[in-house]
Amino acid sequence: MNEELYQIIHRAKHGDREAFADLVRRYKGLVFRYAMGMLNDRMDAEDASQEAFVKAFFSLSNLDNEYAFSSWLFRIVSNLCKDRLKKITKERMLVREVNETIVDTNFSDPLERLSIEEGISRLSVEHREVILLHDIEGFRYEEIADMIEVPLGTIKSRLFAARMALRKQLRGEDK
Amino acid sequence: MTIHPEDQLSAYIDNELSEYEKKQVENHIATCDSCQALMNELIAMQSDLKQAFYSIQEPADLEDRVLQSIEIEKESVGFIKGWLLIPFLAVLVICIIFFSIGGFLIKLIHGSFTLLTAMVYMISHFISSLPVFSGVTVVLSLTILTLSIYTLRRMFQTTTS
Repeated sequence: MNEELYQIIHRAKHGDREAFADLVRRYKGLVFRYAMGMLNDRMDAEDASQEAFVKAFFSLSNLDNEYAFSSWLFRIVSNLCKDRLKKITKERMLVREVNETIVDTNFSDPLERLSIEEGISRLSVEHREVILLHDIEGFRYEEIADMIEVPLGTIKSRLFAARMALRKQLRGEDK
Repeated sequence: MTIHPEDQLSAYIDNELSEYEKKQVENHIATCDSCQALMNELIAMQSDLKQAFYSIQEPADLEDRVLQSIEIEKESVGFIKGWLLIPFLAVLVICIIFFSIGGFLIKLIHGSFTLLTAMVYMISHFISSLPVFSGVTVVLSLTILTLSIYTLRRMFQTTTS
């Protein structure tokens, strides 16, 4: 993290609204792409990103270390996305109970070629999370382990498993 | 049988292996076509993924929406705080009234007691200063005492009988 960014975070932490707006400008792309990857829906991703920044604004004074801002912000986004996914799953289950004839959204044509975004959306939440945090957001294994509170070895094996699962999806081997 | 370090390939392309592990993987892929192919495939997939996600455009107005939401949230927090202030103020007013009236009540009781003591003193002084009143008071007192004794005796007699 460069000195300029550190100063912006420091100012935002002490209530500077302009500095916080600057942080939103710098991180909105990363946060939004992560939310898109996790939720696979533009509207949901927009809402989750917005909610994450608002939450960050009100709890920024609790941030102990300015250098850890990025992982702290992604922990907020990640938790919000997981909460939304839980809510969506619950709603879908309720709909299924009401209407047994509902079309399975995961059902696909065996000949269909998946886009990489679709492939990601068919992974488990845990796999999606590590792939996005590493490959899209650029966090190191150690940072991810710290962020999602799992051992470093688990991140290594989980990322490998996630990539193999994505490869399988893209090759159409899961059908 | 050759052991393929497939699980290490992913960490290898991420540069997350120790020097020793890295060397082991490099030695293996130099002689294993299937692991070399898998590694290339993983690298290509990672690159495609980055390309696909970096092409996603974030909403241009996200920043304004965030700042607007913060304003709304702040206002609602202020509103809630305002509503919380009302019962607090009410309790405060009740306490102030109680303490001010409480002080007044204490003063009133204290004043009445002083007045009563002064009146008793005045009456006794007035009675003792006039011999007629003194005589009347003594006679009245003796009459009340006699009547009381008589009444008590009658009461005890009726109860025992």
